[in-house]
Amino acid sequence: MDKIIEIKNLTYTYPDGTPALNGISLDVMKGDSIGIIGPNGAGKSTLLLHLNGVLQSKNGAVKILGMPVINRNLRKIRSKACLVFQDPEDQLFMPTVFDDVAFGLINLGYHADAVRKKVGEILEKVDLSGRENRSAHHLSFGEKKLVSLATVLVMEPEILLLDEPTSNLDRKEKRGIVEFLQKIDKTKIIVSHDLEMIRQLCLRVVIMNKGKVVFSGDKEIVDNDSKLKSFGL
Amino acid sequence: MKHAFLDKYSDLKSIIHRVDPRVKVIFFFLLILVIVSTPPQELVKFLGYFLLLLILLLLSRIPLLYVFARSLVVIPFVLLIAIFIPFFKGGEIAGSYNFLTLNLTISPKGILIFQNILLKSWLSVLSLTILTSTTKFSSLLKALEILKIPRVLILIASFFYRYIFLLVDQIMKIKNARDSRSFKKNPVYQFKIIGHMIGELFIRTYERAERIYLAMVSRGFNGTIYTLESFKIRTFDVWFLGSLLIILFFIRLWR
Repeated sequence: MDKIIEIKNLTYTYPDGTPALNGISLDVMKGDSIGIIGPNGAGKSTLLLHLNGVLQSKNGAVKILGMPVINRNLRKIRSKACLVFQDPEDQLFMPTVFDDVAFGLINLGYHADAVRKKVGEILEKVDLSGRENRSAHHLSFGEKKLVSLATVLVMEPEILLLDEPTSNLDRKEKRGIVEFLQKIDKTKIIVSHDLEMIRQLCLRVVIMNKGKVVFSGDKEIVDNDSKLKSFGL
Repeated sequence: MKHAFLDKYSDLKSIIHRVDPRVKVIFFFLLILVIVSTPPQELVKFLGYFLLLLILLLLSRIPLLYVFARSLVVIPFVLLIAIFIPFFKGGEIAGSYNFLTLNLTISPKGILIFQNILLKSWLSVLSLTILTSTTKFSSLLKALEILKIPRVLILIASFFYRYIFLLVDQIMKIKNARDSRSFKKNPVYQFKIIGHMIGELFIRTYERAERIYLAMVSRGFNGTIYTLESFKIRTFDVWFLGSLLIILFFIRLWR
């Protein structure tokens, strides 16, 4: 199988001196769906930010689709490994839903007609057709989360990096997101506290604590409370 | 929380709402130019402009009271600046008052200028209120962009529009948190708290800006934001602009 993500001995300290990642090594195969769980402050989101080059560390190496994450490759990597932020208010920054979904495509250099077609298709998929000209603040929270997903799915990435895709959603909205994600046949890395969703979507689970990977293995661990406890959860 | 106070009625579907945003921007820009350049003594012309605006307003089916209330917002600022003009303009004296040791005199010329400033600013704001209530903010931005307004200004306005509601929400949340724990009514103490609130808001906004930037970078942002243009000029737009401009210049040039 192809390694789609290779992380070797990645260490990162924030500019203010806070250590975030401490020697992370992780391989992800094509088509994998991995849940990253761990206590708050374990470095889960920081790890995600390294996977599309928003953060870059001098210590350790990250390779996406065989390309090292360095400035020269960023354009390519960001079109292949797309990150959805936890707060949809951060993800949606344009005046209308259409502009937000089109943002990435236009940056990738698509032709105007192709952009319109693709945006229309993806909004139909997330069941939000007809909302193109709405402003994000006129959407419900669940709808905002769906549009956030649409903004990156429209770029047809190979890897989806999701930071808390189900946080703050009610049960129905959550079910909608989970069912939608189940249908998407891409490599997924999901950072979350939502063990129920991880069980539904992932085969493999990685537990992080204090900047380290303390467990990597089968998803069955999410049902084993005493084991989770021993890993600091 | 939901707010819709910026372009509350822009979703209506009247004739005016359907006019191409670019045409509206150009028309209202010209209208304001004409209003501002009209000599102050020709009061009838101002009445003419007002009637023109009133017709547009009635056609747009926006509640009159809403627009008039909106248009009055700037009047206090204008008053503050213009209130002293009648007292400082020399020439013929229309009236004088003795106030303590001050001898205040008012000249007709001064009053004319005062009234001129008040009328022109109100009519201009009224025009802009009609423009913004009949056009979606996003369309307005796009129209301005096509009309070659500097991109930076458009971006600032666009982020402003997107995040002003969030900012207001955040203020309300902080305020609620304060009110549910605040017992002292001492004003000095309250000021201190307000200071902390402003600081907190600043930090939160700053952090959000950073996250938004990351989200932009993650989707391939490299310094310029591009959007697609989707306006089409129809024959109706040409008629709209043409006929209104004829009426406008007729009022302006009529003696």
